[in-house]
Amino acid sequence: MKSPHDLELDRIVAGLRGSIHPERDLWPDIEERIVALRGPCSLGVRRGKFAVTAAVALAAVAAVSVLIMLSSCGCTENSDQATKVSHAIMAPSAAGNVQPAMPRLARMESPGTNVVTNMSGSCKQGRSTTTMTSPSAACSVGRAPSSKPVATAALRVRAMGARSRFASGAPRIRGAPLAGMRSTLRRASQQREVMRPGRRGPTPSRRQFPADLRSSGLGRRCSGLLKQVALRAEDAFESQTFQDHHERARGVSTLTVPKLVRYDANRAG
Amino acid sequence: VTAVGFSSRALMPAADADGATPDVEEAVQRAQSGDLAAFGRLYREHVGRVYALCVRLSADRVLAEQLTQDAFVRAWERIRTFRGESSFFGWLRRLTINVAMAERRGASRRSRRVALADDETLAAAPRERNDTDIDLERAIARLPEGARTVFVLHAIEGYRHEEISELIGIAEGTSRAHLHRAREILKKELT
Repeated sequence: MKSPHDLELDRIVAGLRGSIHPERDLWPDIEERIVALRGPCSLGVRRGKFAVTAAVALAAVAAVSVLIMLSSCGCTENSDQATKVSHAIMAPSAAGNVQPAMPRLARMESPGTNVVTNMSGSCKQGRSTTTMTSPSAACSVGRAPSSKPVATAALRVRAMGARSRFASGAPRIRGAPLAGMRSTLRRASQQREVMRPGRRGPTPSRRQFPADLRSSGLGRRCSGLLKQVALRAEDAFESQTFQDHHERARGVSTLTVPKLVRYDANRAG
Repeated sequence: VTAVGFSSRALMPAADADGATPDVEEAVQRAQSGDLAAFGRLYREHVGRVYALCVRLSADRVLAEQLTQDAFVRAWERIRTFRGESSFFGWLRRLTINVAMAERRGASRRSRRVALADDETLAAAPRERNDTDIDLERAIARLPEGARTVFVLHAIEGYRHEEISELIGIAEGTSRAHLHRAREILKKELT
């Protein structure tokens, strides 16, 4: 049962006009837009556009896939060398009599040496030019093509005593882009532990690191990816011993730039 | 141009309600074959009702003009998909509502980022006709958006609740609630 107000409202609504004309003629604007469309867009034309778009998209996806495959092949080669390197780092005795107790890391250059890296993987350190024995070594400075070279480069940077977190007090970076790198480093660390014939004692505590290395400001001077790689490498090496290396690094703790590793994989056996 | 005296679709004479006159059918066929002049005739035949719908849905005359343009441009793009199973105006009206709803969704997204200043939106009513008509137009323009949309579509355009729920993407019960709320507000406004 409708109230009188409802009936009144219905009556008024029924009396509303069904047609209201705009204040100006809209047709010229509409015609202009339609002419700009170049005719009605038929279903066939739309299907053709869709087909062209899909073909272009497929071609792009195929090209990207090929690039990814090519880059992964290149990284596999790098990782072979990286495995050699890491194996030599972990098991110096297994690497042969020529190999010393610790891997042959890059010689510590003079303080303040600038490092210039080009795309070919060669690094210029100050006056002398050192060529990376492994292309993956370039990843320690430049862009990382894959996680395994990053892991290798990170190991090297870490092996050079790049205790940047301790040195600079920088917070631990927990970024999602580095999650993959973190897991890769952990895997590399675990793999090293498996391959290692015998551990030589407990992992050194952070306090055991020399004060001059801690205050060297190395980490503060590291920038961008290199710094993050160094931080990640620290996590990967928590189970490793670097006593002799720290002794070696103690004398060069005033470095401003982390030293690039010159490591000859052939020597490592 | 037809000036329809009846507002509700159910109350309209068949030819006016549907716009299915022989001239319209012929114009539609010619427009489907790419005749822009024929489409211009369709525009002049239906622009009043399309604009009225846009004004009531948007409560903004300037926006209604833009929506009317968009609706006719979209109609030109899609006119080949019109198969003649319903009236041309029914097809055009549904297309206009879709355009208006799409614009509203886009506007709501924009308004989350940008706070717009008050402009002279409608509460502006048609200038002619009697005072009651003007008051009702203004009262409709002041309704909340959801209630206004449902009221316009149900009470003025004659859509059923199930059709409205499909058109604007709300539940049927919500549509009924919006209508009830709109009627309560309008009754208060008019008394």
